Amino acid sequence: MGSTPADLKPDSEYEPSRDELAELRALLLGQQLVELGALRNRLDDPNLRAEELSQVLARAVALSSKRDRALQRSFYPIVEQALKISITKNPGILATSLAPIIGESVRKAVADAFRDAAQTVNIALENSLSWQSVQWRIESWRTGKSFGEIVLLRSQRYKVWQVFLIHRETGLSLQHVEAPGGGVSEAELVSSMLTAIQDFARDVAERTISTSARLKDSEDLEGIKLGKFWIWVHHGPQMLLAATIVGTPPTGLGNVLAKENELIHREFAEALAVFSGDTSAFDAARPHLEKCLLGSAARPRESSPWWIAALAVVLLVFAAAGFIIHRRNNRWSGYLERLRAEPGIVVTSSDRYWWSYSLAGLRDPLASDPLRLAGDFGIDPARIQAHFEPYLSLDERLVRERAFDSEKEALQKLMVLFPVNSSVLQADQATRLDAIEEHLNRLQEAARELGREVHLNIYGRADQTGAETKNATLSKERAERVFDALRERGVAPETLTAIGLGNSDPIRQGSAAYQLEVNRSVSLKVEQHRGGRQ
Amino acid sequence: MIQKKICMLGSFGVGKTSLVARFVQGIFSAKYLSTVGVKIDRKSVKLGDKDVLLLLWDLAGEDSRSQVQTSYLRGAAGYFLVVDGTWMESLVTAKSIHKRAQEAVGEVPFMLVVNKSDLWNRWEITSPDLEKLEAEGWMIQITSAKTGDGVEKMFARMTEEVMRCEGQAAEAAGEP
Repeated sequence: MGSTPADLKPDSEYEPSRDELAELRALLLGQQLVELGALRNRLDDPNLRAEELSQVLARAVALSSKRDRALQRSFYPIVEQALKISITKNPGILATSLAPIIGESVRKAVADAFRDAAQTVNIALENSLSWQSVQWRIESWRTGKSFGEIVLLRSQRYKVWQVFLIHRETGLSLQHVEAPGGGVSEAELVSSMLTAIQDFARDVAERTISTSARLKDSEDLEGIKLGKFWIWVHHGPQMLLAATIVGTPPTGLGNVLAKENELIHREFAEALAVFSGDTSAFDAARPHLEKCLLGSAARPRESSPWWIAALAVVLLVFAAAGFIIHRRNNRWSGYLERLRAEPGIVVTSSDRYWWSYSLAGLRDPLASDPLRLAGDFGIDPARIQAHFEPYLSLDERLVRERAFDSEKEALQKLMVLFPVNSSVLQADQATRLDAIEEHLNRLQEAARELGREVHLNIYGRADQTGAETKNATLSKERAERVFDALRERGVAPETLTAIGLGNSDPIRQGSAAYQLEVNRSVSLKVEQHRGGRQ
Repeated sequence: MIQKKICMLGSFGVGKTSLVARFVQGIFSAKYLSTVGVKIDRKSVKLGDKDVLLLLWDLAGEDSRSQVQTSYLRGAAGYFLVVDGTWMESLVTAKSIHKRAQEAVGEVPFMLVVNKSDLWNRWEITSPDLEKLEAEGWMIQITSAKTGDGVEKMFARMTEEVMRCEGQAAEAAGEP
């Protein structure tokens, strides 16, 4: 009501009283004037305007943000500035508000980092010594991937068969991939059922756990295990990434699922915001899911070929050792048998050690050398410690042998003596010739029995006196005299040879009469041949 | 492929599982119902030129001792309230379930399915009862899991309704 009659322009011709005019105005405009005043007041008064604006501001903002993003764009620098001012002024307020969110994230990140580190150490320890790990290290070096990644990809201890991307709210399957050879055609049902089981588990847990230990929203069903079959689930804010695995999955696999799920969340944020059941928008997420199809074969851990090979080597060594021992035993027993069959050898004890043998017994001096026989059986004689006592065997062959030897010895001791410078047989030497004949006969008989032939060399000698040429003739004549005498007594002349030695090979050295006498003589030497050979 | 989660709700013994069994060929055994309280089947429905895959969550029935686990309702695009026409009490239970379902999932399409039309001469639920609900805006379908009457139709109508609501929501959000 700011207007008064005094404010109006005066009429030049007719000047009515101010009161009249005011009255007329009030009559004509009345209520409008009042409203006009109120309106002016509203526009001029900032307090009133602010109050009115506060009543419609929320609605206006809602309408504007529905129409386009202009308001957001206008507000953005203001909000940013406001935040800056707030932080400069009192950082405590913002820190307190963010602490519950950041604290949780930091704790999770630290826990994950520790788990990763432990996993890396585990992988390194598990694979540090195998041949396979060397191959993996080479592949890691060649491809530039980390060793852990190669282990995840190549490990034969597990295999990821399917990966499902599941909408958390509805349990609908957004996308799924499977390894060649595995397969669930009912991915939608599996996804839904998995969500249902998750809800069920949560429900049961909440009913079981006391109110003081309530489940946090971030705590979810992380896996299902059925013998060697696993379902691992990573829960993102809006999507789950679930993998079906056979074998023993390494914990590093969980990190792969987490990483891929986070990437999918980032890439498909817009598609998620408007998701209403159409899954075609998530076809592009397939490569992320395929990256989770890790492991090379679900095979339960079995003894590695290395151990089989080692076992085979051990068996081979045992077999070879067995063969060697068996062969050694065979040789030794063959050798002992041979010794026992050998005339003139009696084995009283025998022992076999790792590297040597021992033998003890009796041996006729005429018997074969037992150590020489060992060579025939492939046994090194140096390894045998032998101790044989001498004895006389009554074996027929040895008895004959002994007879032969004694006749031979006797024959070779006999001598026919001659006077000085003479080759005439003396009468007193006749008994000597008789003895020669007798021993020679017996020797030949023994030789026949042993299958030998004997030949008698008749050596004529002369003493050292006199000329050498004379002595040579004389010694030859002496030998021929004995030759003739034996021939006359019936000895076959082809078994006899007369040889004159002159004085070159005296029986005794010296010039005493008794020494010279012995050298004027004929002596005999028996040559023997086996089986009639010359 | 468009997928929609649809729940089957109602008292014990009204025929929810039989209705689903009439409609689909599932891979999971009905044993799940008694163990985890839900069995899921799927069925593809053709709507115009679109194929819509319904994932039917058959929830264990409700009685005086146990209530439907509303956590299973989360994310549902629609739900059926199944009642037994010969048993008035099942309608009362359905109404209470409906209230809780609305709290859990908000305003989504739902349909009252009155089963056992083959036993119509023994029905306790009367036409005026249903007319009253229809006047309140309820979609109603009469079925018989035994003969198959109305079964295909109830799923077709639900699919249509769910897609229509989605279209409206998209329009409201300024989507093309």
